Amino acid sequence: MIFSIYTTELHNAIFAGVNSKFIVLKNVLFVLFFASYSSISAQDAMISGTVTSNGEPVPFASVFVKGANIGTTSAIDGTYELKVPSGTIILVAQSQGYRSLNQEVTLTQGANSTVDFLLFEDVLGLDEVVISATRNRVERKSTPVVVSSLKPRLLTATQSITVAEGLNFAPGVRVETNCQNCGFTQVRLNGLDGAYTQILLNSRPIFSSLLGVYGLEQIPTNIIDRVEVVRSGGSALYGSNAIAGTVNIITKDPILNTWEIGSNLAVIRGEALDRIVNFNSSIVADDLKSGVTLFGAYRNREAYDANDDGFTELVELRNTTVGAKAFLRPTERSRISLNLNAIREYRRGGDRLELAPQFTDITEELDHDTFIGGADYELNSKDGTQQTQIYTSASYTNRDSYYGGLGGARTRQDSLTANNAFGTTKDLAWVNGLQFTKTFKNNDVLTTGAEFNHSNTEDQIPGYNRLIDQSVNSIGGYAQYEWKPSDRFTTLFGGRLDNVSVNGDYTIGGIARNVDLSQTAFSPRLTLSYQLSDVLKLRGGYARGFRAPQAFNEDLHISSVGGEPQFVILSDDLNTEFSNAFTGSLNYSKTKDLLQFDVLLEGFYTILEDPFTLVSTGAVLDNGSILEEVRNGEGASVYGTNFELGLSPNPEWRFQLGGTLQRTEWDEPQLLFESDGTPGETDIIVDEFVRVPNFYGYLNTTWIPSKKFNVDLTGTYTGNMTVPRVISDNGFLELNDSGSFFDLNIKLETHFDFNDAFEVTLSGGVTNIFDSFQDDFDIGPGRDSDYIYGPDQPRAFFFGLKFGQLN
Amino acid sequence: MVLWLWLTLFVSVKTSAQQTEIQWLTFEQLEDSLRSKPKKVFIDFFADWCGYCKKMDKAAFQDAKVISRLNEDYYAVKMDAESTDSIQFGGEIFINEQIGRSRNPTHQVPLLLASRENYPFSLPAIVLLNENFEVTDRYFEYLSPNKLQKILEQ
Repeated sequence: MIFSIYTTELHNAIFAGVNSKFIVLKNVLFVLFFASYSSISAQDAMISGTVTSNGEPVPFASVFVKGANIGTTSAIDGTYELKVPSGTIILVAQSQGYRSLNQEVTLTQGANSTVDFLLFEDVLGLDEVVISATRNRVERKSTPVVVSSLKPRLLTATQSITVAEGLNFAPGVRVETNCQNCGFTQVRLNGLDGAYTQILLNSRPIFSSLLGVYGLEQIPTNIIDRVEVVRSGGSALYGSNAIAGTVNIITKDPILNTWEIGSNLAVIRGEALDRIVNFNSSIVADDLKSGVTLFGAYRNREAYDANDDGFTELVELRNTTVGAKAFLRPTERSRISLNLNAIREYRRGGDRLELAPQFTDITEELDHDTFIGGADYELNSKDGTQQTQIYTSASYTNRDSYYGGLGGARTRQDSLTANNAFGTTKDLAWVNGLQFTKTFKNNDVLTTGAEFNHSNTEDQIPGYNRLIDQSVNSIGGYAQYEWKPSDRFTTLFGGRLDNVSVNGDYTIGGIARNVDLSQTAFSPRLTLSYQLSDVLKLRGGYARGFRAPQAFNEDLHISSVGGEPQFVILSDDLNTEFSNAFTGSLNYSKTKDLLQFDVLLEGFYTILEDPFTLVSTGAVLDNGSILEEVRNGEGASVYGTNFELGLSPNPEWRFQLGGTLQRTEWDEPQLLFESDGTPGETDIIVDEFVRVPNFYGYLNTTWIPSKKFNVDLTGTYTGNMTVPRVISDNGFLELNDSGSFFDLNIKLETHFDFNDAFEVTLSGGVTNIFDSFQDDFDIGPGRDSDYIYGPDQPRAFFFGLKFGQLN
Repeated sequence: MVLWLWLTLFVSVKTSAQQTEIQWLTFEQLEDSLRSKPKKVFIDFFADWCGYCKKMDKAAFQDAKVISRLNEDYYAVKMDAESTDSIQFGGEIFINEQIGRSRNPTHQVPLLLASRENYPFSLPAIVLLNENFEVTDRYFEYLSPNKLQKILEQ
């Protein structure tokens, strides 16, 4: 009986009590449910039409007038009908799984118009939410600057154990190991080396100059939600040095109670083992007002000697990371989060690793003890249009180091030097900030903020009379306005004013230098974006940045040449380096049937004025060590294109291909090695940057036939580049061509669900299948440890096991 | 004595059956139940990928007060919003039309009951109906055990 009313009156009944409207369809009343629908007075034109996608009607799509409370839902056959006020309006059609579509319509009173919508599926995650572009949460496709986001899926697929390895799979990024003895890596973005890229952890610049050297290798991937890469200086709000771009590592924010334990074993060329155990677990209160994620990772990689000369190419590595991230929502509109991390990392390279370092020919041994802590407070206004954030974050590293050894000979002096090569480093970075965001009625956004950063580095090796004692304070204020004069056009303009004061003493051997300066500079920023058509978006930007003279991360690194350590020192009277970065891009996204296609073509042009450049002055120190000086180099420019191509014919298949084609140019030939007049040795001068290939790229193919099984084929290509190699005790260089490398990986993964609370994932595969690896390493105790390039690891087989309540 | 034992056993079995689990119905079962005895209806739509839905399964739907309230005063219905099944209800057949056309194909039933103006379809979606099968309230957010208790007591 009760159901006699169902077909005729049920749907009326469903929304009784709510101001709604109904349309009869197929004898069923489908509900068009709109509050205040009839309260609009000036509805005097009719619009009707059909919403379709791939020739099929899209039912239940929302069709509404932008900025007004007028709307409807398309019927089961995709048709809709809507009463609207006359004049020019913007009509929006939206449906889950599709990209929303706007159309401008001009209506005269009493007229009937037809407006059809053709919606596109959102397959490649173009609607995902990103933070980095404007420091506020915005949809990726609508960001005024291009943001590339690396998901954990890709980090897993590429068997990336640390963030450093995964970054190769974002366009424009190249990560390379720069030392055989300590394995230090650099992230190179848009042709510029590590110091031009700002690395952020949860949008905070906590990577101090020291952490920047090894820090990226110390963050395990199992705590990462995503990594956002913004290329070029469009992201200057993050800091005046972010000229090549920013890499923002965002850690997971949990909802569910989960736990997970994983282990991984890799066998490098059948010889060296790389073992990893990691875990993470989240507990979140039922009211979601508080929660915590605990995580930890242990890694033990054996050293590997690729050319059997008794000296390592891959260093021995032992890393233990533990941490926790907790949050509390005291009220509905506020949130406090706290994070604590401790990293203990030991690495050692050189020869005879079983002996104490002073009895070996070459050893670089580093024992890092790092603590990172931070707190963040966020308050939203009642209407959600204003947000205030206050944050503080600090990292402190205590490091014991050994850079030295007997160096091949066994004299009394060698032994004395070797015994005095122990050093200590203390490094503190403290970041504080305040940020205010206001969203206006027309969706314009104002962001302003202030930052105070303090860093203090004290690095000493008494045996070499080496000292870096540096303190950097910077105070900065920034403001940015996002103006959207029309739906197609968005502009973002603003800038930051920074005052940087550097106070540093630098000593090596008998040479002492110091920096004592205070520099104020304004870094403007402008970004324009224009939606040319439904499928085509044009973007452009300009940013200016600067770097005040100071010891950056690479300058803290000590390599070894000719059996002696090679040091870096700042030269006297360094000028502040300025840079101008221009960028332009074209983004094409198209959906046809089940296929989605996305192409990004991006051009960049960066000009460096007085860039800090390393010049080798030869073996000028008393003990025969080579000294490199940081000088203001000639002006330089880097220009090129990044491209990315994404293709997904259906959910089972996904292809991605990206790369960079670029050129670097010194305005005047740049000195790399300054000869002391030794016969047969001359100054070495270059026209292009060294260690920068003109072409590099990546590919990534995924096949997911079912939830139970998937295959990933990923790879990177590194083109030819010039790599300098020291060939005499004086430090004389030869410039070698690296050749090209293709590093291809395959990974197979299978997944079992025993029940809701226990799942298992097994994986296995091969990294660097073709064993594409450098084959001309320097040999013996006198080798140039910086002469290392190309893929970071030769062929390795790996097996992984992961279990837990993964969800 | 025996009787007392039987009684306690019976009572404890009965209460534990009531207290430990929500008696979820499907839409087909709901139709039969409504026909035999009208009652308020509570509908929960969920999906595989919806973390908040899973959290509600683990929190609110495990809460003793919520369980007893739902089992006593409501017919509780749970439905996968991306179900591929045809559902017969009120003399009509409802299907999932978006299969093959969307990566998150939403079934007609949740679209009908839980669509909103100016918002794309979102989960979690909870719909409450009165004895006459009229919608009294809808929630499109995570509900904690306390919040859901209050909602069910209204």
